[in-house]
Amino acid sequence: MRSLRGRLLLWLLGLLTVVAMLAGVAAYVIDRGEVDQSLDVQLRQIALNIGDTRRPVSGDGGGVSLDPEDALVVTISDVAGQRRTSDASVSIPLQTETGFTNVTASGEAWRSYTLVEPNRTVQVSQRREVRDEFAASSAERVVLPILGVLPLLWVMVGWIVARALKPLGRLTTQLRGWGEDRTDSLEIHDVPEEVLPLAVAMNDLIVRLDGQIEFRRQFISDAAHELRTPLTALRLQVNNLRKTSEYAGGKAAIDEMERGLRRTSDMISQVLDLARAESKAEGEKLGAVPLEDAIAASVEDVMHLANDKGIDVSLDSATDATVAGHRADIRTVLKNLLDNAIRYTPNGGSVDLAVRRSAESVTVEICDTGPGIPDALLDRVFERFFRAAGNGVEGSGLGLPIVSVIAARCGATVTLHNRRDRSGLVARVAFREAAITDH
Amino acid sequence: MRRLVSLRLPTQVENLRILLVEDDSMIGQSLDVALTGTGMAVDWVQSGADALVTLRGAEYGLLLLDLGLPDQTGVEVLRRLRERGDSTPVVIITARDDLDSRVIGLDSGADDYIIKPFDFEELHARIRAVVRRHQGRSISQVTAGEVTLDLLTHSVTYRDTSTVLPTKEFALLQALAERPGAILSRRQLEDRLYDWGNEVDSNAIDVLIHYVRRKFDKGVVQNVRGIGWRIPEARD
Repeated sequence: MRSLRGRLLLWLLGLLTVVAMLAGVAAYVIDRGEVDQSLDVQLRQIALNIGDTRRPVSGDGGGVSLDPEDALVVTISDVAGQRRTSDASVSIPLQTETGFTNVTASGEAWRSYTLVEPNRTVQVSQRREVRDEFAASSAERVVLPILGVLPLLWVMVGWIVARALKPLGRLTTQLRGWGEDRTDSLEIHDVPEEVLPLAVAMNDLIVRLDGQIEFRRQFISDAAHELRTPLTALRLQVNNLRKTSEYAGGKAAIDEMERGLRRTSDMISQVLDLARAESKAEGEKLGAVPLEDAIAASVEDVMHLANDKGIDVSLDSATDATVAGHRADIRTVLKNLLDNAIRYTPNGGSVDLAVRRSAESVTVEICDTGPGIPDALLDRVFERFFRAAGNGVEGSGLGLPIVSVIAARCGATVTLHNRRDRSGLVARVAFREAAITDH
Repeated sequence: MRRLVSLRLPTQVENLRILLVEDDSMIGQSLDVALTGTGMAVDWVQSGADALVTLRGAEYGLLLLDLGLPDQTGVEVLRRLRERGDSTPVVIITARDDLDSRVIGLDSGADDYIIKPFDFEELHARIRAVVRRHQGRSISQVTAGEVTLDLLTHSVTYRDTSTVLPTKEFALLQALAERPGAILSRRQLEDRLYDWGNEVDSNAIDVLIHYVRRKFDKGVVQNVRGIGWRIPEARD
């Protein structure tokens, strides 16, 4: 069993059960001794006071009232050797000396007291069984209450163990809420002494990890920035080459080169966007952004691309809505989705936007007339650097990852679906409607 | 009524003397060649200190300043320059495209910035714009895409056609041209016309756009259905 709690419960409850059993056994043993003693005294009293020898013992037991419960047999033998007994059905051998003996007669165990007097011998015997019963019932009296309390104890032990383990639970909750964006140290002021070293070690680890994450972000950012310098030089050199090239096929080659350089530049910008999106502090207070403005701004960003391809961009059903987030973030999310839609839509196609409002959210829908995405790949396109094969479109493979990181920060969700009516993709962003604030 | 005017914009940047401050020799070398190729006279230094010394000794039409210099940041160079009363126009070149860097650059007195990596044509266009603005021409001219508005004469030039527009039509085009590429909604355009003291009918915008398009062609103002209107970028 790997659970501390389970182990503690098992051991504590096992222990309690064993204690209850031991108490029962002890009560039995001790009581058995006491019962023996007192009944022995009783036997002796009976023997001493059994009455006159001349009176017959049979019938009424010689003046002694014999309770069948006591299981007593009295035997009196006179000098002549004539025996009288209170119960003729059992014959217990008569002892010749005064004192206690254990005998077996008629298949039963007996305890006898024999009193040898000059004129007679009196022997009082009692079934040992009676004594066992006395002891057992006394042990029962001890064990039963303990057994009765046992379920209650289980519950209480369970509660106590749970309480004692609560700080561990809190640590776990804190650690669970801990991600790349939230790396606060664990609160250790109420952590039990036994777990403290673990928590402290964990905090050290968090600090180091935090440093690593920061290092990684910084490295990506620095590397991308550094790459921009030689890339700028290359682009300038290609530009200069264009001016001086006299070779007839040179222009096409230079065009190709420029395209490649532009693509590299775009990719570096996207890497930086992603690094920046990931490093922005979580828990920042979200603003309220008029969706109409954000849509207009994001459409502005992609209009040149749409115009180049003769793609018709339109907003079909507008709703006045204010959504939670930062203006720049919402613009980036919509811009990236629009950019994808336009990129993958063939020349002369259309990209339609629509805004729908529901009780929980305000959804912006971007619907294109491109080829769509095979259903099996719909989730994978959110992976970094993933690009569906053979679409012939140049992209960094970072657009959608950036969208999902930024959208998550606004509490928005992004989903992609293939169109049912024709080929094409529908991207839906469900924003949270901004709470109405007093001005 | 319609007056067609041939308007050729003279650019004063052909003989511009330009100081390039760029520590990276690859970029410096290429920029030097490219700028010289456009007829500018280029001096190239590789540190902030050299830049400040050079600027004391000679007058330049424009300073092209890289922000990531080895000895001091470009922003510091710019600040010192402005402190000593030098108002040479400055275009910043930066690899940092986050908002803070841009704001800091413009706040320290730069006239414009361009982010690496850039196309030379774009840099050239910005240099021309900054120089023109410095020569006091910006007050009278607004350019967006292929549309140029003369604020004094209300003459509008689109591609090869120039014409003087009536007040409302001009106001509409000016609103669109002031933010090149931006999409303005019907409400925003109505507000602008209203600010200009014009009565605005419910279909006023559509009518005005119709008139403007008739004078040039459909491409002068682009409609984005459901969102608004904009002046498209120049086509290659």
